[in-house]
Amino acid sequence: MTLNELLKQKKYKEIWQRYCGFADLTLREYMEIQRRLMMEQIELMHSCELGQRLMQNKKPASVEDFRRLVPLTTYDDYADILLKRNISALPTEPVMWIETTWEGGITPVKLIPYSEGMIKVYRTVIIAIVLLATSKKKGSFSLRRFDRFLHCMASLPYMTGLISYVLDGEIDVTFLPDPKEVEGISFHQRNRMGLYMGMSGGIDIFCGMGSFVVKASEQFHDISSRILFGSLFQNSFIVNFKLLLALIRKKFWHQDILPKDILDLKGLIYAGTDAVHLRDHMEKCWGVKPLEVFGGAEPSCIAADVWSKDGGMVLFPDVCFYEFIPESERALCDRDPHYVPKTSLMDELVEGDTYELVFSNFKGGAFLRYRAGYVFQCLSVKNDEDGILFPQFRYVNRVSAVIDIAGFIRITEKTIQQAIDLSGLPLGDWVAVKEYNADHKPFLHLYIEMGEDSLTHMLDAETIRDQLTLYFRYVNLDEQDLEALLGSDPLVVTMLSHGVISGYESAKGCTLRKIDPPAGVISELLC
Amino acid sequence: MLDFFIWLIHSVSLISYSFLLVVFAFSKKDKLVKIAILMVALYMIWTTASLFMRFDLPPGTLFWNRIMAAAIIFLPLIVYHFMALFSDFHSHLLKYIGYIGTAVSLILNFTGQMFSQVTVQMIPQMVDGRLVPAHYFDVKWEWGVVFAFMYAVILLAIGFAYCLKVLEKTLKADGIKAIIAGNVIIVAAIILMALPWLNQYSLGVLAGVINAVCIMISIYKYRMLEFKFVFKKGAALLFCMGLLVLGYIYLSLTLDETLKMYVIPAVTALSICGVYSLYVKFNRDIDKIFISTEYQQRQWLFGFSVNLANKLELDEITDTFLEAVKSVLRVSHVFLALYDRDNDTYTLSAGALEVAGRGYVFAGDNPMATWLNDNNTCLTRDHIRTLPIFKALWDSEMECIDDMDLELAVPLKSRSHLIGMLILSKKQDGSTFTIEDMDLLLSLGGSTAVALDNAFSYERAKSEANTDSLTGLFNHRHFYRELRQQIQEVGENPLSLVLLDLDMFKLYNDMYGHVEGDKALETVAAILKAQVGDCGVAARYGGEEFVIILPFYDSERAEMLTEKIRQAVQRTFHGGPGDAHRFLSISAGICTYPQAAPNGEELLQRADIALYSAKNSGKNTVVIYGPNMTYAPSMTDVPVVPGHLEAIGDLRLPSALGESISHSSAIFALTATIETKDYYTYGHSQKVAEYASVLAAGIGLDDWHVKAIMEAALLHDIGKIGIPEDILKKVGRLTEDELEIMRRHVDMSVTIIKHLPTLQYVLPAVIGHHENWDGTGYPRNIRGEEIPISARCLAISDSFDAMTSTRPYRSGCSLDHALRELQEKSGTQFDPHLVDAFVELTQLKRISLTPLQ
Repeated sequence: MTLNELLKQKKYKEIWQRYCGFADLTLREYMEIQRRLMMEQIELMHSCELGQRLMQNKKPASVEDFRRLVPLTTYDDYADILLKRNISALPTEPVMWIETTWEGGITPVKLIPYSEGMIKVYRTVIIAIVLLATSKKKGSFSLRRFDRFLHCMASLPYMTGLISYVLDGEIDVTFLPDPKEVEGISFHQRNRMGLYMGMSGGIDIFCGMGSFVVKASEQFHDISSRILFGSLFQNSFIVNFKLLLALIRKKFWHQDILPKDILDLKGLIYAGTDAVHLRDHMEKCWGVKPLEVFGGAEPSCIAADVWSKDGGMVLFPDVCFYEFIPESERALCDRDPHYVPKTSLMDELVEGDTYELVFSNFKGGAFLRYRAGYVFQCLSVKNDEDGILFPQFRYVNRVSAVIDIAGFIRITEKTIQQAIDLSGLPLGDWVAVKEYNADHKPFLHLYIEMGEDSLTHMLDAETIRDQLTLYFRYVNLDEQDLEALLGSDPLVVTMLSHGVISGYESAKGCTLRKIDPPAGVISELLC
Repeated sequence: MLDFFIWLIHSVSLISYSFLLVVFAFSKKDKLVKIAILMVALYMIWTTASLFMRFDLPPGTLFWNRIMAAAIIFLPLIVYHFMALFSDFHSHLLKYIGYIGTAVSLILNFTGQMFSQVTVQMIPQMVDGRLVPAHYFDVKWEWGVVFAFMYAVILLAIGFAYCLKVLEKTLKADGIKAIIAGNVIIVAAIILMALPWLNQYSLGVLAGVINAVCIMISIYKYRMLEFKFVFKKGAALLFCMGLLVLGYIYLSLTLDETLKMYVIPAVTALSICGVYSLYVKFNRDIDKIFISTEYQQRQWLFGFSVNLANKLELDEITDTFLEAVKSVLRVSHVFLALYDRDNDTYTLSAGALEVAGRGYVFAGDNPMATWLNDNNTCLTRDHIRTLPIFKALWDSEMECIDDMDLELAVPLKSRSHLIGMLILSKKQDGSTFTIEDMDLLLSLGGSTAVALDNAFSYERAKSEANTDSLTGLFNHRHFYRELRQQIQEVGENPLSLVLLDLDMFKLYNDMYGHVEGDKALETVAAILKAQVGDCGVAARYGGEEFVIILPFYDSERAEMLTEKIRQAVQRTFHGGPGDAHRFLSISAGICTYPQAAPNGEELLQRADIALYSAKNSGKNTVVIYGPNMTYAPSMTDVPVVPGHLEAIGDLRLPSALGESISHSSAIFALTATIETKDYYTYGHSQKVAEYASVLAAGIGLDDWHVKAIMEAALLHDIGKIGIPEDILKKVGRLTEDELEIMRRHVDMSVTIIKHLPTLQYVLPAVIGHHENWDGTGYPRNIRGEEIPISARCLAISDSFDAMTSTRPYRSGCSLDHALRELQEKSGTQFDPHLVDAFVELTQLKRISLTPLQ
């Protein structure tokens, strides 16, 4: 029975239990699901070339065996099979190939196979997320048929594009705009179109990258009057009435028009790095507590807040097998690239500690013990308030080799160096750090020295910034897009005295990491 | 006639609505049912008020008319909600018009603006040729026309929206057609009621009756409640209520006005009491009518469960049980997944193969089994769909559940263990399983589980009686039974019998102990099982002898198979790093029925002759029985020496000492070989033989064993002929690598002696003479009395001579020094009792330092 039929029959308790019942699992039950599904995956992997390679032609008899036998992997370990779409080497035939950018990879994009089983699980996860987003307390939700769904995330072949694909036929929701009608339209145009449609006809569920949600909130004041007045006769009576009240407030009390003044949003879903700082702002603008979700192309959607939306995200038990590399082990890896870090399981985590996630796909996915660089903090091992008996997390960042700005742009040492080289500017050593402005918006801060041979004609930071902005576009970083999205300048350049970095390195006797060097280093460089 | 018609309509109408009300009241309440109750209640009020109006009961006709009108006024709104829930048709406009219209109409109604006057007039009518009075209502319609118009508009709008949805194919027409029809009839009746000449016929009430039937049809089609169950209860109540109503009508018609006021309430009160008792009885009877077949079947099933306890055959129990459940509950398919302890799985009965075209196996840890074991109740498909622990199901398991169309799973538990799962698909009539069904199944499951558990125990006992407990092969007894049966079955076709015997197994047992010997038997049995499979029957004939019955195998094919077995055994037992570790092989004899033997007894006897032939042909070979073969005693078939054997525990000697002596030439030939390579070793062996034989005699071993130890001592270092001379004669300490090479001489000694069947009795002493009492020796690291006593004697003698002999690079130590060394290492390197004996023998001068001969 589909969600649509269940909603039609008003079986709300059954719906909750079916999709969000996982929240009632004990830690033991959670681990049992993890263990069993991992054994299923081992069985599938054992019968294919990729699996045999990763499992060294052996078949682990238990999860413990599996962890001992299979090394930690990265996309390089799969590239030869996946980039050629070599289906015969995979555990199951993919029904879809998802793409994602590959920073520093041998090709611009990574290809990720999605099996039918993965898509099925993805569907239940997305429905659970929508239910949780529209719930204020455990067991009750306001999702209904024919709700209007504003989906402002990347379309297929990116992972977020699967959302409309999996919900099609499962529930009668109206996507704003209809994904089938806007194929070929750019991401920003599509978002704008959806937002305009939502403003005149109402939005029930809004799902977008955090940075976009914030931007849409801020622009609402300017565009709402124009749109709403333009479609005065098409608007529902209630929308017009609310608009009138908002205009009165604006006229007499000089209050900005906020989305919540016009729209009765049931649920707000956001994803992406950095938006966590803007939760309060989102809630203030849209009138509902936003629900954070986390996903990636390789693991698919793996985590979400629960109904209270403030205890941290839970990892869905049936999407991937999760292992965690403690910070201390990661530090050992930093020092010795050949060091094999030890991993912990969900029932071994320590509250407050930070871990890098290692995951293995279930249901015939390709990745085993995969390191994508996602770093999470374990906020609690159980949450008595919400009755969650397994750990909850906060997404911290990607590992320091990559700077992720707002979930849209991922910057590596290679991309920055390419932009510098292309610019032809006489620049020297540099380090790059992600920082936040006063509005909690992220930006890339480049601390850079002039080259030794250019000391005679100094360039100012502003000129360098403009030049680099230009050349960043050639290395796949469309900064203008990001600027439009964030409403702030995503690149800031600060000049360092020549030789400061090398001086620091010789004083400390170590090589300074160019991307996200340890805290405190920047202030020392600036002194 | 008209009066009778009016009474009839009202009675039928009230009974129909009462029935519907009961149906709804007993149903699971949801929004739809609640609205339906309200709707039916309004129809009842309408009918009752109409009846009272016609009776002109106090407070008066106008009052009842307004009550009736109020019910009719409410109806459009309620019908709208009812239809909206059915069809998902929502119109805010219609709803608001409905609310406002209802409110205005009610106000108009109760303020007298709708019907200003209602009077009952008696008009004469001709009935059977005589004049009788009939009721006629003179109603003054004011705003009532407006209301009727509004009513019609709302209902037509709903009808129009419905048709639109049907055309758009967003709504299925089934189930709602009847409701639409019922309401159209109501509208028509209300409009017709405005016509004075039709008013007298109570058309509205008649339309209500039709509408009630329409609602019942819709409910049945839509399956919004458990209709059958409620109908049973409803029928009982309906019958009783019908009696009440008819009685009431009769009294109303026959009694005069004065009596009515007193008699009717009293009779009503009495009737309620009487009718209640009648209801209880009738309810019981109707239960029997409705469920008589089911009741009998269930009774039979309970009887069946009692009988189950007397059955012991697993197949009989499962077949009968499944068939019974299937027929009683009328399910499409029923499966039984029984726990397989050996593989930790639940294996589905053969029925699964018929349904899905393949067999199914659920892992022992699958969530269904875990849930059933923990909860002791029925597991439904909804549980699997909704409970999060079922996320742990594998896709293949889910496919299996889908293929079986699982609707219900019942635990079969015995002694707190889930020994099986009863899996039922949907019922043939598509209805769901009731609580009663589940209770019945749980009860049956409990008793069947006990019966199954007993059957398992019986099967196990039966199997154990036919099976060799060590190897898992069939035993000797079962073999004979099987041989007779197979010979009968093959008729004139060939049947080969293969007798196999492990070569040198006694020696193997002596060297590695009985635990290792048992393991070897298990390994050989596993090889036989794997090689023979379902092509024949393998059994343990006794001791280290096995037998294989190969029906439809001629001697050539039997030889090929046996040869494969022989090679597999050879690979397994000769694959170790050294011969000191493994050296088992098999010999086999084959005879084929009916070509080489006319019956089972002859077949066995001739296969045995062939086996003996194989043994005499150097072992590790396969021989087919030939006509000229006879028993000829094997040279190596040495009987066990009685007497001291148990005490010694490690030696098998030739039956006669003379036979042993006849081997002396071979022994001296071998020792001469080593002499050519290392003179010291040769002399050393001779001295060790002397010391060891004295020690053996000193501790009470008989002559044969003393002699055997002496021969073992002569040969104990024979393997050194394979050690490079530079290591053998090295002056100074050996390196670790050289020591490793030197240690291999034990393996080499075994390899050499193994090929001399007549000397195999010396092997235990040779292989064990470097083992230490505390387990730190080599090559097998055995300890204490696990080391054969002959080897322990040899170890002391060997070390004693090594210490006391003079070598080119050092002088031999003194006797006292050597004895002190032995005593120091007593309990660690050497057997303490033997050291004491050795020291005593030196004190008695029976052992003294012997110069090299």
